[in-house]
Amino acid sequence: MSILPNLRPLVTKDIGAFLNDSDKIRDLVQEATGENPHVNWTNPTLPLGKQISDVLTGLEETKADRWLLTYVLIAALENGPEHDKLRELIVRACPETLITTPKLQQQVERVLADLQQFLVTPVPPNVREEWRLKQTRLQAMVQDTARLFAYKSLHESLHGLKLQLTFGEVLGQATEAHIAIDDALERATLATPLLGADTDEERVELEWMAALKPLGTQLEAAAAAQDGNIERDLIEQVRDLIWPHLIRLNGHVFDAARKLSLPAIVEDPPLDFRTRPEFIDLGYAVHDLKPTVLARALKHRMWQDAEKELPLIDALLDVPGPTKAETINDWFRFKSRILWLAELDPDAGWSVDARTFADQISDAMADAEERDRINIPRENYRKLIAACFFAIGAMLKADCVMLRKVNEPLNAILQELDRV
Amino acid sequence: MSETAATTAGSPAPVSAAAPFESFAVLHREHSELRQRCGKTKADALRDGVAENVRQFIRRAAATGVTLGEPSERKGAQAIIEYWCSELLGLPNPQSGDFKRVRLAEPSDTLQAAGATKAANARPDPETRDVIRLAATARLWRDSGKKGFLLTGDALSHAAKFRSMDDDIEKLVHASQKALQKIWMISTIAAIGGVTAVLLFLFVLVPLLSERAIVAIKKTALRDSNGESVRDSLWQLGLYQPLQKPYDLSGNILYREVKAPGLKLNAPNFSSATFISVDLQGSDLHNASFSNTSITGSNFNGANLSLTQFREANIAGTSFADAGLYRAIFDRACIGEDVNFEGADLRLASFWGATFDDRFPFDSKFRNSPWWLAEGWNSRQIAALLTAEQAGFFESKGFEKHIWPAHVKERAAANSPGASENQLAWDLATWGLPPPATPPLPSPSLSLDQICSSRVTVRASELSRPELALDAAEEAVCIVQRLKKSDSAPNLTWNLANLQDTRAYVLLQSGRSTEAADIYRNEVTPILDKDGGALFRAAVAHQAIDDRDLALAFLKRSVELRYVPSHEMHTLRAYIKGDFQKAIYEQIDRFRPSMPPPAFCQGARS
Repeated sequence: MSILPNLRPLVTKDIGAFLNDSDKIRDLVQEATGENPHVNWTNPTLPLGKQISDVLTGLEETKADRWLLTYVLIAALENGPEHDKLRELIVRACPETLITTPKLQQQVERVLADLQQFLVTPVPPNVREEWRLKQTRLQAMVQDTARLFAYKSLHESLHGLKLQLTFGEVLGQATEAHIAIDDALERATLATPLLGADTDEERVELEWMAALKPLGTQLEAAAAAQDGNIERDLIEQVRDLIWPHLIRLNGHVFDAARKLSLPAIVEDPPLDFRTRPEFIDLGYAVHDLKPTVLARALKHRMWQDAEKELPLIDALLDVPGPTKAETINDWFRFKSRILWLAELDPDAGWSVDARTFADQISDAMADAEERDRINIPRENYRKLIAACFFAIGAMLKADCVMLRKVNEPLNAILQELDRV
Repeated sequence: MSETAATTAGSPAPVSAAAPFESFAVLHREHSELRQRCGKTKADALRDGVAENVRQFIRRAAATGVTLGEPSERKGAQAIIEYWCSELLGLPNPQSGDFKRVRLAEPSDTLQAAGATKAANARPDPETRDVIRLAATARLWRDSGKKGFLLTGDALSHAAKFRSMDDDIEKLVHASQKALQKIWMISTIAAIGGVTAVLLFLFVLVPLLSERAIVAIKKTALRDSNGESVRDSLWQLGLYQPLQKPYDLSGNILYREVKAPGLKLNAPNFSSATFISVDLQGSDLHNASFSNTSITGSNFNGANLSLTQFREANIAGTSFADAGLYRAIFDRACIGEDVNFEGADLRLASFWGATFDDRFPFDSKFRNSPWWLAEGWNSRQIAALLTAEQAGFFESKGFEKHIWPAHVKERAAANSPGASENQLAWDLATWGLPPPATPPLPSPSLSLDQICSSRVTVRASELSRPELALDAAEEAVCIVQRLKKSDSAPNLTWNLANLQDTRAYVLLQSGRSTEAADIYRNEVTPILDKDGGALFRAAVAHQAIDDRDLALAFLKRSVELRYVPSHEMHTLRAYIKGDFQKAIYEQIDRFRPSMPPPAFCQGARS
């Protein structure tokens, strides 16, 4: 799908203004496509909007415009909330970026097929030598997908635990709480080795796991003693322990997705490869796959940011006085952002609830008498955002699982290179 | 502040170095500013510096807890702290302390209690309520399928201030502005269309329709036996008249049996046409031209025919009763015996050279009509007109309609001393005062000063009009007399003589001819010796007191000045008799000789 024609001039202009530099355009296009735009599609003396337009025209021929737009979305997110409008514009102009994103499963299968084809074709000795030089890079590729999977698994285990503790399903049922902790630890234990044995990354994760384990044991004991106060205190301690790691892990997930080095497999190929159809197709397939992973990671990051900001707005809305106007402003911006996020997954139907709960909160805010009534929609709104975030996390996790399948042929290639 | 004012989860953290913010508002402001700074700092090297700022902020925010008693403020402050703790973890190189949750320092019990009371009384401020309600309105509009609820005027301006705050408000404001633009566009298009339509109507359609109506009149007049077709066309022309120049309906056109009472045309030209049994009573045809027109059996009763020309018109069997014929011109017209001018306003109308049928009954056809205010009469006509009955003249429609309102207006606009009073007296005098029922008693000869000093102010409404005329004349004279005595007054001799002329004229009509003659002789004629009118009235005054020599002397001088008497012939008729009358008639006929009747005027000799 191409960019909507009526929004295209606006998109090119705004992206040009956002990147604001020919070198930045070149770097971003290169990262997204593996190609230098000033060699292939445009030249750096042109106005920035025109450069973007030229590049998008070139990419549209191979239906690759989504790649660049996804990278622009990521860059906009990393440059702060003031680029909300640019993100909205890009998604509206090209829904394929975040709404109708292609299915990762099909993309992975295409990569696998190309790699399989690649594996069965005999490689001449001189080419084999050339590939041996890229062995480190191939190992990094394998490690990248494993890291992404590991961090997402760790995040998921803590996120699930947090949800159970936050929304009261286990509160007052210490038995359940310690079981949830055990379950989270069990899953974390499985994921941690993928970060690399005896690495700093592994040590960081093992530390919090070690700290969490005794809390689980104490909760079990408190439940046996039926001491509610201790139980509540312990659960609070668990929450205090896991919240920074959740934030940290989410950052790692996003970084791991950003650093996925799959496209490196097609960089600087031996001359013989460059003309082989399966290699050309592999080049397209790996470049097409990464924006899909990035899109999911981007959504994951945005929902996490929203979940992080909600308690702040929630608390500030109750504070009367001169700060109220600014908070109201923040609230309106926030609910718009949530609605936009919810609409990125139309099939899930989140947007209806997001709008309803936000409206109920807004309505109740108008009247001091309604303050008690506001608590229910607020609670619903909190649950909705948490649920959306969790669901997006689960989808990302599924993608990570799918992505790990690529490691199999990559490992085979590495073994082949080792063997020789 | 306590050394452990702020604590971190698990282990106390000293925050004595951190000074608390002055209030929650300051804390919130610092939080907002820090958010902005963080949002703009992208380079990792700089973000390290930001991380340190964040840590410092967290410490101060936590310390602020000791000053915050109000629960909502405490909750807000804690949320701010937690937000920044989370942010800190997203920045590069987090420190081990960053992973610990920071809690707000506890306030004193007293502060807590005060804060709880404050919280119980808290209400949203008006502006916040405005924004929230505006957002609710926007949602209502959205949920109603974006129909109705659009904003206009001040409400729209007010809402526009908050448009960036909420998507729904933005959409509502946008839709409202678009709707206004649409209305403006429609209005503009309608206005342009309207102006175009009006211009087309004015400059194309109306002239076209008028032209068609005139053509229709000319074409159908001859065969229009009942006059309906011509009447309809005339009504059409009347309708378009305010937007059109005067119509030319002249020429050989027959207007027969046309019943168009109340028709309004501005200066229509009916010259040389033929009117037979046309009913135009109550119509407004001022400045019209009926010159050379033949008018038979028609009705102009009550019509406004001011400034209308009937030059050389042939008029028979037609009524102008109560018509406004101010300055109308009947010069050289032929007027049949059954033409009626009863009650008509004939002020300054001209009948010069007009021929009346031999049998024309002047006595009845000019009843209650101020013929003496018209001009052009010859002596035979005047003699006949003097027989016309003029009873109850001051109560007549003509006086009430034309003279009295004009006088009232002039009185309001008078800009010279005594002018309005004099004008009133003069109007009444020329209109004609009724003769006194009984001859007035000889009054003592009083000087003007004596008269003025003994004057008693009486309300005008309490006076009869003859009394009013004399009262006004005296008032005018006395005003100028008083002014004349002051050193700064301009030369008012001529003015006073003029006013005395009026006063003497009124006195003469009131039967006080001796006083009038004295005034004319001593006060008026020495000054107004070139005023033929004053000299003529002086002549009549002296004739009234049988001073015939002086009367003839004054008359001779007025003739020399080519004065032709008009209103005096009616108002002073009681004194114009015998040889004196004969001399006057000769004077009139010298300037207004009888003329042979026009050829079209069959059987008329008058």
